[in-house]
Amino acid sequence: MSRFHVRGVFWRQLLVFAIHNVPAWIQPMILAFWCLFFLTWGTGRRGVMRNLKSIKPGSTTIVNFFRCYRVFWNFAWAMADAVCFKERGIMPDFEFVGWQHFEAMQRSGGAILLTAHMGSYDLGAQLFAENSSQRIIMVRAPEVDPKTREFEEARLSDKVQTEFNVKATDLALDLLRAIRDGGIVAIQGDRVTPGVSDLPATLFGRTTRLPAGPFALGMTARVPIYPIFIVRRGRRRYRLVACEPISIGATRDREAAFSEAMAKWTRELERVIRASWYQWFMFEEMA
Amino acid sequence: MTAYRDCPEARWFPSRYRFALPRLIAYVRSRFPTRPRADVDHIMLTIDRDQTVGEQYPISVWMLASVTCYVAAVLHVRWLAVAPFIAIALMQLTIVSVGIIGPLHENHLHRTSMSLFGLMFIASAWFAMSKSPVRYVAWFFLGIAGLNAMAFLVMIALRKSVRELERRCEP
Repeated sequence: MSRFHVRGVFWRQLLVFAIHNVPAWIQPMILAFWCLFFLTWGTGRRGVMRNLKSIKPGSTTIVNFFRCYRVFWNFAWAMADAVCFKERGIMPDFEFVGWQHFEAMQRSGGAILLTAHMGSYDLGAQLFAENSSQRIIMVRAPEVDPKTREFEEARLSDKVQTEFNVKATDLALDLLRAIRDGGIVAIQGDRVTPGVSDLPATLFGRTTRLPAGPFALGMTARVPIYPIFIVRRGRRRYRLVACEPISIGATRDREAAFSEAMAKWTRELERVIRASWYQWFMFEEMA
Repeated sequence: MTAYRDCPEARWFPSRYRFALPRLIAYVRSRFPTRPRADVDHIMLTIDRDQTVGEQYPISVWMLASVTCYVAAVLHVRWLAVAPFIAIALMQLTIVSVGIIGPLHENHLHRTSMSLFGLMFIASAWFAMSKSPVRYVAWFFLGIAGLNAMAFLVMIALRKSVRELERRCEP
């Protein structure tokens, strides 16, 4: 893959350079310009626009084109804020909603944190790690480009353990052990990556597939699954929304238990995405 | 990094602002009560000079608009539509030129900021002397810069009071 491809390492390097060189008082305009430039990325733009069509039925292509710009704009800020934290240690402002569920999660000896590609996943995990005594393991899909992967892996935080879901079976055992030791496993449950087991789901009236891992892990470890979303509220401002936990007990009818848990998860996911469609960073069309 | 939890007053702390004029405005605003947030359970406000959207966005738009006007003033009328793109390209060219001097992954924000403002001063002083309508844009820039300098002096005089104010949120 070329270093100048949209997922290539050049853009990550450029972002790090920008964080060290672009004064904050000119950042909005420069970001606005680059978001315009990235609208030429046809695959991503079409993916976002098609998903928007499902989120907002009856919406027109031209309106969704402008909405797509807003998605890119939010994505650029979320990326910039995460890099700003990694490179310069500057944390954004945070607001917390559903604090009782956070507390319950902290009290529970081990839990699963289920989230989506929204706001800044990295920043949320960092904040959690700084405010909790529990170990946090963040599971994420590896970067497609090997050089980008190398670049990102060299910049991983030492406070949050990051695992890449490349070998699902090996990872499942490690995660199970971590949960049993009282750790929190954070997984993104809105996108299936190749090699990851999935379950059927209905999202915005469309049949799709979502990861099965969090639910299988929840059932095996017998721990609750906490849907938590990190929603960008403005420049360097995020809201952590914790929802009611999803319990998935061990039962003979695994299919029914999975389907019930998945229905609860998609309900929460739909509610949050519908309200904050402009920051659902799903650049591929829902399968 | 300092961050205050559940202290809404911190929103108006002058140390969350970059320039003297917004810092002074924030100082005056902080003298009035801040309503607690009812829509959230807790808040955490970070103390960093570039934290406030109310300061950064207007300055960003104003700077780009000013540079666009200067670029438009020297362009032929049929090229006016590309003036904003030339303006943003010129700003980025300045940032990259200053940024590549020295180690790439070191913080050069002060240097790039001073270079951009320095060039803006020179350009504004030049266009302020012209007869075209762009002189109003230039005078506006110089006027705001002058006000900011005055606010800077006021903030020096208020520094003890600011320190006292910002102790409000300390645990």
